[in-house]
Amino acid sequence: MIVFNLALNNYQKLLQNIARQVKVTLENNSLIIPPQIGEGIVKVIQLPNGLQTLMMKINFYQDVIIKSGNTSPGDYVLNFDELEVSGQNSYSHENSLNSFVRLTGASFKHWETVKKNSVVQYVKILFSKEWLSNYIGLREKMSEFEKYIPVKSESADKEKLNEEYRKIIKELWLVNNNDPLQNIYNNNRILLLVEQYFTKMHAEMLSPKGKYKLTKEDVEILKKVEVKLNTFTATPPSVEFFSKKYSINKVRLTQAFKQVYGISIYCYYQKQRMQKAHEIISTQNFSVKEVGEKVGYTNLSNFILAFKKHFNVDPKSLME
Amino acid sequence: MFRIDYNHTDYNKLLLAFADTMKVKVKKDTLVLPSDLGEGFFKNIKLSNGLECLVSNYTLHTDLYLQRNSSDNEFYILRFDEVSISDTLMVKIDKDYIWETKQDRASVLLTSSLFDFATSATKGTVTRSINVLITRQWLSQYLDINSLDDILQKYLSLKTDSYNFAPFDIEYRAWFNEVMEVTDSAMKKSIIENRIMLMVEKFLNNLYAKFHMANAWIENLLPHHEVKRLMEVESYLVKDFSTPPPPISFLSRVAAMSTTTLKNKFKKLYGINVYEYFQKCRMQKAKALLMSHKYTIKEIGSQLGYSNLSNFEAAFKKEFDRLPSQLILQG
Repeated sequence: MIVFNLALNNYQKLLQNIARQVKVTLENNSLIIPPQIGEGIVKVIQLPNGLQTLMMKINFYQDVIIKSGNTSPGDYVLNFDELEVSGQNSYSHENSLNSFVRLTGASFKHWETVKKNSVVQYVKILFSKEWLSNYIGLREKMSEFEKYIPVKSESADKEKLNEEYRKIIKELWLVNNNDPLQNIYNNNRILLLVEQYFTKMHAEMLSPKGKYKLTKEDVEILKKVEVKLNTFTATPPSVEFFSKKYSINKVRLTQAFKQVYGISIYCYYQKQRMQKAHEIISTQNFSVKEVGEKVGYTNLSNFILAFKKHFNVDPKSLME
Repeated sequence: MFRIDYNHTDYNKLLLAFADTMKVKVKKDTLVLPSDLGEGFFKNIKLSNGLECLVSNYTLHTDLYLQRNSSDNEFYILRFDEVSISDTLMVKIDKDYIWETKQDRASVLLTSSLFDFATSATKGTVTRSINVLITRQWLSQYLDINSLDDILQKYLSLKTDSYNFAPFDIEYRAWFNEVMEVTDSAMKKSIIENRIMLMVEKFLNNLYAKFHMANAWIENLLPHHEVKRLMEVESYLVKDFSTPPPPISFLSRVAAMSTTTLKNKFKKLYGINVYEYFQKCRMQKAKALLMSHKYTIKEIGSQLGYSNLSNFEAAFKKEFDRLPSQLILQG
């Protein structure tokens, strides 16, 4: 199965890798996907201010694996992801949230199997912490965002891709490669996406509707809990365990975690280990049973069931 | 009369020179006018992409003459100005003069450092402006400089011809107001940058579109005196939303045209009908007020002349496809 690796901090290089992989040549920082794999385009926009943007829109004719994530500390990626699974309309599945925006930070890694006849549409904006502080003027406003951005980006919390985002993304796709003003069009659309995202984040910080106002200590505890949730054992760590260990009220911990990471502690643990399992399987070095054990499953069929539930594919099918 | 001559190529030095002449200090990139001269400020804003902007907002307490002397160091200045002229305003571009009296004007103008440029405004005149200094180096980074050079040269060679002052339309006005009135939020810097860039984009975009249809477009131009009067009509339309818009008979007197001619020519210049224009601007104003988070929806409605809240909500929904409350929720 083809694995597209989008976890690179140099999008030009990333594009070259994909071109080599699918055996096509690059033209104007973009490439056309050959018909045996799918129909679509991948392109990279390099702005003079240092921002890199990856855009791809592909209808896949075969199953593929997409690995995304960040590679260097201090870099952020603002992801606008849309996935339309064959036979189902992404709009009708609000719960699975196939179209979303999320900010991802240094340690984010994500594996995804995209089934045949699905359409992915990605816009990924890569920027450094320095660029962001200069652009938003964080130096003056640091205190407000300082606490929030790292947590938000590590949690990879998803937010719905609303009409405003869609409108800008649509305009971005319409920019013509031969237009003498293309740099300005691209620059303005990309920065509007960034502005919208952070404006929303700011509003959320100011009025956490019925939510907890997090203290610095809360954030520190949450970070420690999150680290623990990435070690996988047969018995997942419980809320009681964390509550005793870090001396924090159970209810407060549960709610604060959900507020920041968007899902409950157990769901998060489960999601992380499924991601890990997918990653190990893709290396093709271990049997399904071994992978299951590595992520804390003693019973093989439980593992297979859980994997299927999460990715909608059988782990064995990824072994071929 | 207070006179300042300058030929600086960066706004930091220009502010320092202004401050020196006015015997005040520049603080945080901002020059506050001394009270004998006026009330207001000049502020230097550097965008993250390297463009320099001079934002100003002031009311004159004395006559002011500003003269930019031509320089061999070539760069462009894109000026977005909204002036309320108390008595007379003189604009001099190279060797051409334009005189305007007692009116409000909001317009876009591109000038080059190769020409002298001067403005002289009388006591009581209110100016709000955004000047964007565009260097050739910046242009070469962001644009296809060869095609642009050609177009900019053509544009400048026409100098004071009517199209030089492009009027503000609804979009320009909305972006301009956002820059001038942005509240002190954490996103202030990027809002200012993005709105200014959208204004630059729109200007260049229009310029390209026009030059592609070069001859047809020049033939179809409205003469300068008509553009000027239509801009005056426009300024009456957007002056006050709390009362009904001025009747067409009044506007037709302002424009010195018959009502039919006014309607046609207004549409030609602004793209939409006179009262549609009024309504769109009113809704833009509503949106800006909502985003400022300073007023309730009801308060905004009544500021904009809606005595009935649901009428206001319906009008808002018609324009933006969303209710005012939904816009607030979206932050």
